[in-house]
Amino acid sequence: MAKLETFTSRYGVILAGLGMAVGAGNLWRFPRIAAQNGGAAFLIPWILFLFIWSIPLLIAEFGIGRGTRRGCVGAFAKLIGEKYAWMGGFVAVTPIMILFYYSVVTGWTLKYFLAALTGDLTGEEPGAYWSAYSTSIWQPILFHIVSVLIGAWIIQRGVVRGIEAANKVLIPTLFVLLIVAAVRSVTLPGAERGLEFLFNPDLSSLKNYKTWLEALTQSAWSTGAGWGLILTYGIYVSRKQDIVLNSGTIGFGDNSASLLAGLAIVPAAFAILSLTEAQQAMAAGNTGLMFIWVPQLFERIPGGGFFLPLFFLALFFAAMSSLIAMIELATRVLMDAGMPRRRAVFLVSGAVLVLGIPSAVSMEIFENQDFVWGLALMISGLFISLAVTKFGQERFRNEMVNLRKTDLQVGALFSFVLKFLVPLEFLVMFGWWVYQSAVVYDPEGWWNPVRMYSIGTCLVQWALALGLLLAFNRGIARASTREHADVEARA
Amino acid sequence: MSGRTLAMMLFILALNWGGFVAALLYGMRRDARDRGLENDE
Repeated sequence: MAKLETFTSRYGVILAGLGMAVGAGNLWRFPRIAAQNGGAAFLIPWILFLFIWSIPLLIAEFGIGRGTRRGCVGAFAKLIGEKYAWMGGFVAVTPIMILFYYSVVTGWTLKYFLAALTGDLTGEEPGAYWSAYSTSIWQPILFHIVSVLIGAWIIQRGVVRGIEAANKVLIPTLFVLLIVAAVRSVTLPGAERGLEFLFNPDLSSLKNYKTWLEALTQSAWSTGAGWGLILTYGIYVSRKQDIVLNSGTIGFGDNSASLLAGLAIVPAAFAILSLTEAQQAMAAGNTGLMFIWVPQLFERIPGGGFFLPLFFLALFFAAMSSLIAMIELATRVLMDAGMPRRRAVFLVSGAVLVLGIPSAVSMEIFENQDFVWGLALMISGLFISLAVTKFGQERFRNEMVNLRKTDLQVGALFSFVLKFLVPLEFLVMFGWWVYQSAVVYDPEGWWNPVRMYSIGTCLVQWALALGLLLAFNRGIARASTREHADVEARA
Repeated sequence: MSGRTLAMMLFILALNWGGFVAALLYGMRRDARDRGLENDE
């Protein structure tokens, strides 16, 4: 059996990590959340949470993946004992459930890139194209299938020829496209109104707890910290690699991509649209901003016919680089149980093709899944911090992170953040979202499991996943910790 | 755009992009040093 593949260089690791982290959320969520929550005042806690949530969790994930050379389930079983395999199972199930609808999102971005290229988006009534596309049955299914097939083709090629090679094209191109779009946006006459909206330091917003909670949520969702994806990529990182430096680079790189996306969208919106329209665009939600307002925006920009396809190409690249990380996570779990890579990819992509269809044909199902499993990601982050605490914070630092050849090492502060701050942040952030569900989203049906944004729907779906994982804990623990020649590290 | 907004924008961009580029460059220097050590050995 083949030896374990490892990334060929630090550059390869960082690009793969950035590919995982920089996704649709950087482009369609960050600009409007930042603009709605005090502009620069939002950016201060957003940067702070990079250091006290995202980067420590990224380091922990790299350490667990590299230290155990297993996917999420096997990693938890090897790190803290077979009876905790279910926790790793939940960390794996969450991004896999997200994968089932993220492939649909990737399909939307591909469709919009092609439509922008052929000029189909211009001259449409606001929202008409999106409405026709999202309510049709076959088109979202078709582009979902194409996205899954592209992602599966990349992953079956392996770590170096697949993940690393794809990200070496996707990520530098994505950054160049974002820089081009940002330069176009900020050089428009009137762009300074958007810059004022995005960067005006309205420090009174810092007194509002919502600003802090939105900043923490944005950092947690955007960097992908605690999702199990970096844990999976960590399997392929050599012991020579400095994972503290790599985590910092990925965290700052993700923030930088978000800022570029903000500069590409907000100044253009305020330069081109009326103030009321620009504020409507910022409040239109993820898909509303991206698929209804952005095409209109570029239609009115000089040279917009050239910039619109480039923008959607950037969005497609961002989504695809995250999609392949999710496919790899699921594939790795099967490979740990002894399945060859190609067969595992075949099974995973087959499941995604089928189970993604409900989200492709129904926005209600899509939004329900996005809500339920988006919240579950916070639980995954908590599980990773608890696993490190259970293993022993000091032991983890010495055996998994601060290796002989690393320049940057973490100390007691890292352990304090992971042991105390991350669980505290989880409680506050999770409690706030549950409160929002009960009071804002669905005050009448918050308990009802068939309502879209209810606590009831979250609890039922999580309980189903956790119940199955607990019931089969022993089996999944043993299957995922078998010895294979494949996991003999080359480093 | 006010001076405060401009200053804040430059600060935020410098912090994030500065951190990103500095970490990348530091990593590249480390890799070059490690390769040199391997060649010496």
